[in-house]
Amino acid sequence: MKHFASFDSSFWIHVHRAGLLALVLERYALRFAPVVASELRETFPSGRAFWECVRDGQITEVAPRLQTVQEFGPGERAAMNVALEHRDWLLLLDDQRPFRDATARGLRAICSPVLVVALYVEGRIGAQEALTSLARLAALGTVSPHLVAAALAQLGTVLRAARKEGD
Amino acid sequence: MATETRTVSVRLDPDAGKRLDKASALMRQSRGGFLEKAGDEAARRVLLEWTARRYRQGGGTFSELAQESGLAVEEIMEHLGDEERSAAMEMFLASSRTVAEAQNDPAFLEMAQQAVASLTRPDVPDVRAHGTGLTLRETPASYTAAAPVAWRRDGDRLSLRGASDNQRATMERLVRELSAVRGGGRGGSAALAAELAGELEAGFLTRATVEWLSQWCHSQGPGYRGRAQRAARAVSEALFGRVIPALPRGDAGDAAWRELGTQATD
Repeated sequence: MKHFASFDSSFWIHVHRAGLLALVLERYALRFAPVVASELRETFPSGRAFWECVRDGQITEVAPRLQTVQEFGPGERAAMNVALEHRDWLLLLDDQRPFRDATARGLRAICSPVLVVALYVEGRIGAQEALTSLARLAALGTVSPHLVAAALAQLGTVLRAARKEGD
Repeated sequence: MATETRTVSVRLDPDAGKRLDKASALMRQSRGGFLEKAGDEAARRVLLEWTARRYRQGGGTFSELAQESGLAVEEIMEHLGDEERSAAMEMFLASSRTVAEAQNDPAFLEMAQQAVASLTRPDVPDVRAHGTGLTLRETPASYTAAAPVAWRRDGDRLSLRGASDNQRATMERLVRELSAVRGGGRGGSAALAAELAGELEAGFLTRATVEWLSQWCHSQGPGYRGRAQRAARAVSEALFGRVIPALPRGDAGDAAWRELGTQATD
């Protein structure tokens, strides 16, 4: 069964531009806040992909009832508020400041580089594909290099352990 | 949803007024329309630089900056990404080297280098289908900019010099979508889509067809706006990597056509 997950616009744009969107849709039942939708405009490629998914019914809207989080931009705020109201959901987020705040609030947050490692661990992608996906995310120039570096370290450890097991 | 517009008055000295008269006539636009477009383009340039600076200084998230500037989140990210790409890839390789050394695993660095090298190839697959039925219209960003469809201008036609299988599939799909969006008759999108499909099949685009597409991209007529215009613009982006400018008959259109050809040949 898929995990439910709330996300913000920069996460969506990153995974779309890195070619990971199909895998994300396969892995999660995505829910978005209305304000996140308003940030994804159809005049841009990732926005068009978003609205195609909405029209196809692949992702659905859910509005937060409370405005618990007051900081950050309206998109991150709304994505976090949705996750706070559904504590068993995941929060997909790439911006570092809201990411830190979300984890401090006890939310289960995942950023796109860590998602790539998870996909490898689950056997959905191979090692070379995982590295290529991380390289694509890095090449976007807008994913935090610290998050990419952390994911590389994690992937290196997992690969090393897998090799040792194979020896 | 009703769109609220604002009126702004400007005062021009005689020379500036003369320049405005001439430039707007060349572009076959009203003076107001010309100023509106020029002002918006200038504002975007200023704001893109400002948001990039603010983001680098940790002065806001993408959502915050979009809200403050009125720019789209994706527009800000595209601009920032273009400027940060080389440094980001250097950091990617440096981090991979550190991991390889820490794990005593030289193969990790080799794989990372292969991953970076694969991004520079124009034939890198753009998306995994995974049976979702999802259609995506964008090749993924790569270390160097994704190679656009290559055209060569031969007088009043553009000859297709090269396109990957993905690019061809994307063009065909978007032309089909354009065809369906507002069908029937000579004035419908199906007629334009048929011309585009036929010419692309033959490996060229005539100026007349590109002009026709540009009308769909820019016309303010009620029959064009909305879904139909978005479909035409998506076709333009797939063909030329951007929404092509208006191509009216006359000097301005000739200049825009030549520019299109120059960019296409680069």
